[in-house]
Amino acid sequence: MTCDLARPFLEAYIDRELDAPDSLHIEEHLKACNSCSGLQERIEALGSAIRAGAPRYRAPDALRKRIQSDLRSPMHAATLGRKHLFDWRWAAIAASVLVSAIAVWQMPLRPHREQESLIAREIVSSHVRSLMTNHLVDQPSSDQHAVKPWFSGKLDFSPTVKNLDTEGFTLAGGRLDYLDNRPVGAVIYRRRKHILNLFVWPSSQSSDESRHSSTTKGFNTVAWRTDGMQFWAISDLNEHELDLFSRLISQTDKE
Amino acid sequence: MHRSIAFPIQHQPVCPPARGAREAEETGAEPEDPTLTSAIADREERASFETAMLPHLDAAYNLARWMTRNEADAQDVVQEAYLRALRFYQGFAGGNGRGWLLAIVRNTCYTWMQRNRPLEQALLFDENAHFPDCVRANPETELLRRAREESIELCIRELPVEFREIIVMRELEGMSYREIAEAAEVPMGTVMSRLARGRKRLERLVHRALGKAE
Ligand SMILES: [Zn+2]
Repeated sequence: MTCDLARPFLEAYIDRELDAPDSLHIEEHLKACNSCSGLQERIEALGSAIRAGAPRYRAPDALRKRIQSDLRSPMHAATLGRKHLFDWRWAAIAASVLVSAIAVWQMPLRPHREQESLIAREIVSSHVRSLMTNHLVDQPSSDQHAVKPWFSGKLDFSPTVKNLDTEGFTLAGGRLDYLDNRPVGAVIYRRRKHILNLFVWPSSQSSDESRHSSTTKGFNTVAWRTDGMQFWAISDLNEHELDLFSRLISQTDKE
Repeated sequence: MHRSIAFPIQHQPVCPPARGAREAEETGAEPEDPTLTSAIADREERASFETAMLPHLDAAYNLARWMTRNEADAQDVVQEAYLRALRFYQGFAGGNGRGWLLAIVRNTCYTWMQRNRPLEQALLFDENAHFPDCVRANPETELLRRAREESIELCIRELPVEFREIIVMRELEGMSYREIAEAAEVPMGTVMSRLARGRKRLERLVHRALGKAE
């Protein structure tokens, strides 16, 4: 075995992720090769330094008690977002607004059981990546007349871009993304401090599909298909607000 | 002699069965007062959740603590993450549960960071932005060892978060690549490349810190 073949598996070997026959191959190479065994030593030394020098933090007892009491309190049945961390004041206001919104829209609010389809996983990863890398927008703008043309030079279709400011969803800009093995448009909106990604691309299926909500890994999503276009909205917003958003997008579309 | 290694690990997509539905069918109990039945089901669900997820509290807190780099924030994130996890518990397919829970903790962390520290987050990705004077020169070997230990903690803190989280899960939690892939919601290959790049960066940071000290 050459170094070129061994190197890519060196860390998997050190991390004990290889099966026995493959481990044996790497081991043989390490015995014969100073350069690779030197690298092995460095990686292992770093690992022991981390484990010796960096603490594994333990949850404080107070936190454990708080969570236990959260879990046992009936108040928290299927509620979310009323914790201090996520704008509980807004949640309260939103809740009161939503009572009337529900009456008007008669939303089918029961999210489907979590279905981790491949595409849903991709959507979540894309959303998290956009939060994580601060690469939220390629074209920052709150003006749909600036965002829409920006897409047209880059995609062979035109993603829906709406001004929903008066409804409380502020356009933040557009971004190119890659999903389902193709380039897609991502339109970003903000609602209070929440970020919402709307992914749009031409579907391979022509039939329409009505909006359906689901939850994946702590995010709410709504997906639907109209006029051959596939839409996915994802956010940590609650499902009511996300549903409202998806209605607004698909509704204003028909103007 | 050119045997290429067929890498044995593959990312297995999790296909959660609808737990609640299945269990309800299996019990086949007489339909009673529906509110009472749902209250009991709710209590059972919570008990099952607590048994499955509370043992991972330290892992959840450790990850959040390293990601937010702050004790109070980590506590808030973890408390929020547990409530979210409870809501999404029906999507849990069973098994160890640590990867599943940490995926939610991690997402809660990112949501939190986006909201509270957008500027700092941008800085995180420039590792040259600043480097703290982690260690002071000290002739005593024991103290120097301590200093080194402290410096590695500070060096990990300086790592960009997408490497830091992987290093923490691997080296401090001892998670397998598969578990990390589940928690970070990326393919196994991405775990491997981030881990490799993270280790290289960390090594550089440590050398720089020790260079300053000695
Ligand atoms: Zn070699």
